[in-house]
Amino acid sequence: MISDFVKSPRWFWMFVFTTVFFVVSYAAIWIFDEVTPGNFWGLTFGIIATVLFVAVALYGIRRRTMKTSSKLKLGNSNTWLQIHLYGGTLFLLLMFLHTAFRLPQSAFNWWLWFLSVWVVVSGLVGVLLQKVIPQLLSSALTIEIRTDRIDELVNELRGQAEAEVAHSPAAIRDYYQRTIAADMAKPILRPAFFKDITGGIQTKVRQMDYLKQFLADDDQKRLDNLEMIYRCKLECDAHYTLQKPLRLWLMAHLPVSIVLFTLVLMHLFIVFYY
Amino acid sequence: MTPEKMAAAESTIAMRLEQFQDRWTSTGANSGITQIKEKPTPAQLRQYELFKEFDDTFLEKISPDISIARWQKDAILFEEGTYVDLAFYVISGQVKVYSGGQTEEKILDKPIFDAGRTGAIILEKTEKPKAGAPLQGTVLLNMVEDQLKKVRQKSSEIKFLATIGVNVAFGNEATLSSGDVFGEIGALIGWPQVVTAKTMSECEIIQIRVPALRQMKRKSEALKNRIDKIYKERLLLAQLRGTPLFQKCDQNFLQSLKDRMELVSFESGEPITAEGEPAEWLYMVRSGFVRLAQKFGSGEIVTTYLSKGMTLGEVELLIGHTGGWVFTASSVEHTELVKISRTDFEELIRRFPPAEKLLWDSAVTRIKESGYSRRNIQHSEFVSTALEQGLVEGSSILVIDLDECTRCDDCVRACAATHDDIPRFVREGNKYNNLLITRACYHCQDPVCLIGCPTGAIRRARVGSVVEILPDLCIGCKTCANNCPYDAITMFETGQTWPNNMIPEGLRGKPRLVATKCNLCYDTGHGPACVSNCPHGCAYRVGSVEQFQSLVSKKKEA
Repeated sequence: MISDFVKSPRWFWMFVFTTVFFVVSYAAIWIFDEVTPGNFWGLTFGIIATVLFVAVALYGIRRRTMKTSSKLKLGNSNTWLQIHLYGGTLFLLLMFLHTAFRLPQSAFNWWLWFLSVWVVVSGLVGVLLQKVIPQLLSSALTIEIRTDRIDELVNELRGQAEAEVAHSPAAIRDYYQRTIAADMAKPILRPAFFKDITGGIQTKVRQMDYLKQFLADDDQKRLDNLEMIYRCKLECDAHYTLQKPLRLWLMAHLPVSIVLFTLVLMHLFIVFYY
Repeated sequence: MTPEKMAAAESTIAMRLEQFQDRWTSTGANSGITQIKEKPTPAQLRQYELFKEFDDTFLEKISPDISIARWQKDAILFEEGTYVDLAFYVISGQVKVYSGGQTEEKILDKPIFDAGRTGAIILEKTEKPKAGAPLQGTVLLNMVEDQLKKVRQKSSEIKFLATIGVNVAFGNEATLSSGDVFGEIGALIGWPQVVTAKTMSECEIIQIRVPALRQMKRKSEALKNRIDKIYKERLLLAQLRGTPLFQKCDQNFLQSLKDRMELVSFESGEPITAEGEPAEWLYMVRSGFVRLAQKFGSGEIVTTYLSKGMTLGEVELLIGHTGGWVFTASSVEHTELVKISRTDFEELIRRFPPAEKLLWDSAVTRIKESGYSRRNIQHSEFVSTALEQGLVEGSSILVIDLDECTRCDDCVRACAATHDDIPRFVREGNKYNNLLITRACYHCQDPVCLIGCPTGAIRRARVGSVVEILPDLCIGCKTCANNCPYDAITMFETGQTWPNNMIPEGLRGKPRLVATKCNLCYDTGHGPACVSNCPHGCAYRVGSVEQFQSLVSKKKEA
């Protein structure tokens, strides 16, 4: 079922239909006439691509004007995002149709071509990250935390761990200092979480289970508490590691999109003025 | 502090001083009170019948929640459809209570919560009753339903939190005078008033807030009996008629049954029945929730829960030889029930076969649920979670699907953007099946946060189940935040300090805090911003356990 892969099948099928329409149109034109960026057909594809690009860019404005958008009932953000995603992908196709699948001839056009590809591909990478990472985060982690609170929580956990260790026997204290203390110091990026979100945590705490059998009952409880705190810290690391790409990805997409927008405006000016 | 901030603080205080007197009115906006005496002394209170039996220490303790007000003629004490956390005792003068007095124009001027976007509030299909006919809904709710139909086509999916009929039928009125108490049932149960109360002459009225009322009811058997009696006389019949079980029974039978029914209440966790003990009663829930559990191995499993209008005991009384109670029932929170003896129960089913059929249906459902829970421990776990995390209590819970949430925080940002840059929830909370039950206000059916607010700043909004805080009335005492079991109320520092003419005096010179919480954006003209601004469509408003369960099922299927 297509609904297993896409959030909104309706938008997906509309995208497929529009894509097929443009490709078939292009093929029909190609059979009877030539398509160049400057002739009627090429310009038509170019104008549609530009209109689509502007429409797609409006999503950024929608996200930054939540109060006004809600008040004016401009639709759900989700609908805007669907337009952004499918419209953006369609823009790239139309850009290729506009250039008749030829590579650019000038440096300026190279930049336009390259940045268009970059923006769309980076957007699709973002979609992929937004599909995969939330599922990773929710697959095995017990805590849910906001990125901006990770530092605060880690500090709190370190305090709790140190308080627990202060009343523990030498075996636990030594173990803490040698193995855990460095990990507790600050949030740590661990790429291993991308590979297996449970493996990293389980491997780390396994040593504690081994140590436990040599301790008295009360000390075992202390170690249990320490293990709980440590697990929590490792889950914070998992959030820290995995939530980072969700934010950093935008840095590769948004500024380039703004540059592309400017270049598209310049391109329009050049084409229609001269 | 900058001069601008100081000026803002002064202006807020001026407004607050003006409104402070209004905390004893139902809406906080009306000013029909010409004179008010707060914190009356025990001697003053004991002059009146209602307080005679209480000792000085007790009266002293509850006096902050009592005032004696002089109301001018033609003042509205409260309006039909509003939530009031006050009971009124008439000392002198006359008060008219009537139903169906609001004009359509007046209603339409008021903000109507756009439930169409969330599906959280579900409106019962009611027809406008004719004058003199028993009341099913209220004029206000009918008007709102008409409004909602315009914004949502599937109005059958919309349901308002139930209100009940009274002995003042639509279009009729009654006059209350010295010694009469009114408003107490709505206040105690947390239901909207079904009548409008208006003074017919200048009146002197004792106003008792819910915390004091609850304490008085607990302390005095006589008062409890009296309130129960009033409840029985004024509301029970209508409430019985509103439940499917008794709908088809004739008036005479219900009258006689009503007189023989016993009203009982249980505090949180208190056992109602014990599995295996002899079963001699049929219970019906009036308010609150009851947890049903059965022995399972060495422990027990929670099979289901009962809410308003549901019955307990039909399995045992219908089947007969079940060896006593099949379930251990305990109350989840303060719960009010009515109980019917086996004899009355047998008479009920003998005289009204449709009631027997309904009870059999209910019994079969209960047995099926029990079997299902035994076969499927996850279901039992779900019911326990729903009870523990307050899902049964909430009328609009913000749930986020963590499998799709990219943690972009647009929901929180949208909330902040809508409410003067102060977000009213944080994207944190308990998880169930990768659904995050956020710490946004649940808009509980029985909101405990309303209890004890010294200024009446937190209240039910005029429409639906929305609970809101009026920032101008809030003195930042944190009572509501401490009362909320779900940490859904946060204190916000305004950066101002209370000036030197502040009432109460204890606040003078101190930093000004204001409690904030979600109000479902009901006053903004659009649905909850958190939901409409989630780019991934993974934020939902859940109005019932069933909706939550269907969300869980959908996720499992996916």
